[in-house]
Amino acid sequence: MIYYADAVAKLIEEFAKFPGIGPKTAQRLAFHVLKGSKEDALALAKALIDAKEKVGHCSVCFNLTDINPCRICSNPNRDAGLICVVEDPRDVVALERTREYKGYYHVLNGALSPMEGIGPEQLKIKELLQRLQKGNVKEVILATNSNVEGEATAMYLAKLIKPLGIRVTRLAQGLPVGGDIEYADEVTLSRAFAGRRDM
Amino acid sequence: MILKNIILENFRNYVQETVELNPKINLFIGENAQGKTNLIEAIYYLATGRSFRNSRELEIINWNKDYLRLQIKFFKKSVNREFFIDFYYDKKGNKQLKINGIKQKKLSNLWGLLQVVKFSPDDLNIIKAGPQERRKYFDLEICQLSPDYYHLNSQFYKILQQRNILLKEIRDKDKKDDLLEIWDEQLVKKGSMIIKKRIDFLKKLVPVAKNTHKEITSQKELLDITYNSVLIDNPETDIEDIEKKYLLKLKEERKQEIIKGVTLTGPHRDDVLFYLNGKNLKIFGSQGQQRTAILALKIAQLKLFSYLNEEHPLLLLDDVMSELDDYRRQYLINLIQNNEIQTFITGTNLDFMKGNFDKRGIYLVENGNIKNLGRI
Repeated sequence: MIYYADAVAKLIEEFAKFPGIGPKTAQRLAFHVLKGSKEDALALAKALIDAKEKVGHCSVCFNLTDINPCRICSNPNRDAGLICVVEDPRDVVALERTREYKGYYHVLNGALSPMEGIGPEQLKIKELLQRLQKGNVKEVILATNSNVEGEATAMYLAKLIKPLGIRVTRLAQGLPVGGDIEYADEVTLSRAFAGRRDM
Repeated sequence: MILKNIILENFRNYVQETVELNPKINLFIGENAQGKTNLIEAIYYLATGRSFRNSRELEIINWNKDYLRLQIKFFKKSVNREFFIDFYYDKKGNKQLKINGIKQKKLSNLWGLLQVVKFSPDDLNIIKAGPQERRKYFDLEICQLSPDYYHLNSQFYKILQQRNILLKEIRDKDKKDDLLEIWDEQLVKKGSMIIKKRIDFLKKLVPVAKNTHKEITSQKELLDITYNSVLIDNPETDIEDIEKKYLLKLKEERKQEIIKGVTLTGPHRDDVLFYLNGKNLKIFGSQGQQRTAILALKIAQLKLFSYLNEEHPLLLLDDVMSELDDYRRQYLINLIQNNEIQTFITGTNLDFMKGNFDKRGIYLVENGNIKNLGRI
């Protein structure tokens, strides 16, 4: 049996560690790198190292950022009365894409899950409360996921924040915009039903 | 609904078998261990996404093959459409489900599409075995009627699992118990919904079962089935009542739950009790009485499904005809024939089926091959 040269095998192994990448895809990626120019390979290596070295958590909202505080937290034109709490930096990007929300964010970096050993101490909850104590926040929007863990986290936060006299809201759940009712799954549809409103 | 054909590829002892089905009664005759139950199991699997046998799931794949494929074509009268289900499963654990050629993300999309009522000798366990068997049976039947009950259940069990781990953590690491509250709230909400759905289902099913039981026992015996939960003291209770009681119970039992490290109250601890003339059927009933009660239950289910869905489910009778006495067997056959219910019956001989049957509905099953008598 013929094996790959050590360096090639190593490259395939490293690619195979990525989520969603199996051995076949890892092999394809490795050969793509080998086929390309040296400049391309260096650019990839530099991008990897830069991302790891320059990107860290914002000291205010704990989003991923390359400057501290992050671009959102250092923007004075946003509404200081609003904080939107999310589980993951990707959620910030998703919400920003709406261009609808003009407040600030707080990234918990996870959700409560005893199964995975994640309690309040593992999340950026203490830091959120410290931010709220500064006094100018009027409303906290809980935008954690709508699964079991996300709901538990939202409930926990609501219990902590409400006594501070700050308005606590939760994102609405229901039909996707532009979606046909016939294609909505039963769970979404029954949530939408429960959350119907007067016209 | 009418099952038109089924293709079994590497399912249990089948390698490649196509069966065209009769719209009325289908009789599968053969010696033991030739594949009769396997065929019933395949139909059941496509209706519920699970097997009714207690074995490792991988064992449904033919033992010297790497994958299985099940394909089924059926007509659903209630929506006036033909459906084609294609299910693939391999030994690596990959499953793929296609409905009318469209790949489905979740296997649970099967729920509610093809409805079945199955009756086999194992069903005696619904009465004889522990509460878990009864919960499993009733939960599955409710899932067939309302697919969101399945999601409700999986959410509840996830919450339960998280909460149980938290209880153990509080006990072992001496943590504060204030975090329990947020799990309690969700547990109570979903748990109460499950209990309510089960009670509602029984409310519809039990009167039909009682009447059927009267009919097949010539009015001699009175069957009753009740939901048994510490959270229910009257059957007319509403969901707010259940929630209130549930929350209170969790508070009362908090210390005990932490010591034991498990959640002590909820739908996962409830039971369904069967009574005959006021006596607990599990303890005081004879084997024959228990079997009659199960027959009444299954027929009631058949009638209820037909009524609620405005079409008959498929009736699967695996190896039970020979166990019934003449009167009950005739009752069942009359019901099937008068209502034109598509039925799949297995047995080792034809003796129990008196009268002239359409030859096109008789099949010989031998060593993983199925031959239709109407076609040879």
